[in-house]
Amino acid sequence: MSRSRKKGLPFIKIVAILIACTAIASITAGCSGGGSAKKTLNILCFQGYADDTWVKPFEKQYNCTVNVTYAGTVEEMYTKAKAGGGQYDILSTDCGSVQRYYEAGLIQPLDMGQIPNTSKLSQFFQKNADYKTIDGKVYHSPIVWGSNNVVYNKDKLGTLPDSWSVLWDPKYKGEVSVTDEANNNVVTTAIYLGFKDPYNLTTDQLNQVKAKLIALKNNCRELTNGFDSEKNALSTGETLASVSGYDSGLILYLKNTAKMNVGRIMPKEGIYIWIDGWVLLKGAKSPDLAQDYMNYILSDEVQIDLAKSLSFGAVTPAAKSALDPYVCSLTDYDNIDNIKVPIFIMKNPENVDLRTQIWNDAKAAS
Amino acid sequence: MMSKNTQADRNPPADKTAGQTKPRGKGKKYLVGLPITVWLVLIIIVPILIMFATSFYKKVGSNIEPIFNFGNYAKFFTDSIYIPIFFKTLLLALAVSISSIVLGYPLAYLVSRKVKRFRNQLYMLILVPLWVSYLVRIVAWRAILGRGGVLNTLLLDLHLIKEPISLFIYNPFAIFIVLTHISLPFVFISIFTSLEKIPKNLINAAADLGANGPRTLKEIIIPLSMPGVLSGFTMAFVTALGDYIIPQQLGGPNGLMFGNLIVSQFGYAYNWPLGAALGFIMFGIAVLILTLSNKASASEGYLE
Repeated sequence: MSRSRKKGLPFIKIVAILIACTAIASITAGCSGGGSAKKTLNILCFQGYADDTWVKPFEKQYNCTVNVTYAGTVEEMYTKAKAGGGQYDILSTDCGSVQRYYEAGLIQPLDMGQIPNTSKLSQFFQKNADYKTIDGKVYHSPIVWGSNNVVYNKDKLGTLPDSWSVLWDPKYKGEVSVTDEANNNVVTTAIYLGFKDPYNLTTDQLNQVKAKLIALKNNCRELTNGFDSEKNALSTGETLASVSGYDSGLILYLKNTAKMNVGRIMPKEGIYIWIDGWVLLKGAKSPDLAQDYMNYILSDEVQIDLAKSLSFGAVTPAAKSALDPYVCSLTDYDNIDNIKVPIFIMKNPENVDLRTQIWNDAKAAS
Repeated sequence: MMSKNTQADRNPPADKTAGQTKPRGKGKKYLVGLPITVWLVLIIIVPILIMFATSFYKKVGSNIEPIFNFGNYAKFFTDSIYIPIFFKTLLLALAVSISSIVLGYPLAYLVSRKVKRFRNQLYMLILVPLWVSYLVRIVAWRAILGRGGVLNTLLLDLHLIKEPISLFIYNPFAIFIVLTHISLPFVFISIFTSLEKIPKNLINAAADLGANGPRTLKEIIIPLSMPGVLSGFTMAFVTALGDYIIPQQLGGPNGLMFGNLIVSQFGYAYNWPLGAALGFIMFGIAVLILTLSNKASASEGYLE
């Protein structure tokens, strides 16, 4: 055996080596050939925020190369950013995590002069900048927004009252579901209880929340984890009303694919929203280009493209035409300024560990 | 007693074959072991050591700081949530492994000893679930046990029930059923293998000495297949102990298991040190069980 191997490389191996050589040669050629004049923008984001539809025109317009790396989870994103060391210029994150990136020393403030399209934002986003401002400096430039909300089967339930109370209503025991996420459940419960600042709760308030969470859990059919599980719960009739972080996607799926009559509440106690946006990483190699991209995302064309491909809430009023009219009638995703109820923007809470523990305790209670 | 005597008679032929495959030089032998050692160290030992180190770190604000402390381990004992859930999980794992053995043993016995035609086909058929992805099997169970699922539809069509039953899924019972289904092929394989190893002449000898079927089963087959039962038990137990996906997907609001508590410290909570400590406690229990079952199966009998 060993003797015959020494005689010569088998044909397949030679071919493999040749292919490897040409591949390496072409990669190095590509780097040295085009690198001198063109700038590069390295983006780390969730799938959908750097689509070819608008990235290709951007590359042309700014004569640059955009490299996109996708992360699947919040965790992966954070770990990649931590290990990055200048590997990425910007990344997409929900507004609630900005504080965490800041405390980890991973991000730098934005130069708002370079993002003039900020003036296109809906009034609400211009007036409420607390969530993205730390020590007077802005760290987050929005892409889209959405809400954690109750989507329900209108065929079975009729029209539900616009209140979080439906989740606790004994009439719907075993017919509702919430997501298995500690902080989201604590926040919505705090909003339901009428607490002024659902992100900064006192010990007494947290205890009240915990008692309500136990009741909430006992009213639930299941605890969902992600869009697929919410889709499954409602479309198979396992639940009749489910909380989802992607309500517009759920409405469209149930209406168009599952042919259901679907509703969504606009809770009078207040709506809980998230905003996904870009943060500029420390050590970014092309900070100017990065902020040009943030600005570009807020242009009317890209907002329309985003609305078409993702159906999340548009941060500027320009994308109205591209959003589904029925979704807009339920959610005001075309313009947040039309919302009449209090709006709570997702923020870093007072104590993440405590909230995790409270939700675990609620789940362990019977 | 009887099994030990008979084994002594069988030992010589086994030794002969072992002598032939002995490697020539000692140096060469170590060289052969080098790749697997490197692989073991890199893929298993180093990550476990990192995890072990992390379990003594501390979360300060949003950051994990390498401040040595036992606080994470202390939490397991002081926080009232961990120990009850841990015992609940142990109990579930125990129930799953016992039921897999109760189901798996007769199945393995049947295929190994009783079936003559289509034996290999039957063996493959039992292993078919292993070809299907773990997540797909969870989805399939949802389609079986759900309100509009196969089971409810069947019961409705047979007019045994008037309304769909919600009790099949989203509770600990569903976790038990699905974990048993997942563990069964592994338990089957290990019991089947140990049954196959029992020499025919032992059974013939039992028959010659006047033992009837049940007696042979009791005196020869069951004792000699115990190593397989034990390793199957271990496999099922460890699988059920650590699983968190099935409780999360099918366990419903009361399906919280210890694995879920560990997972909840990662992701948004970003408390890796606590997660690592809880993970290590579970890891320790798993190692303990593996060691005990190894010891037990080693003293049970040696056929090779």
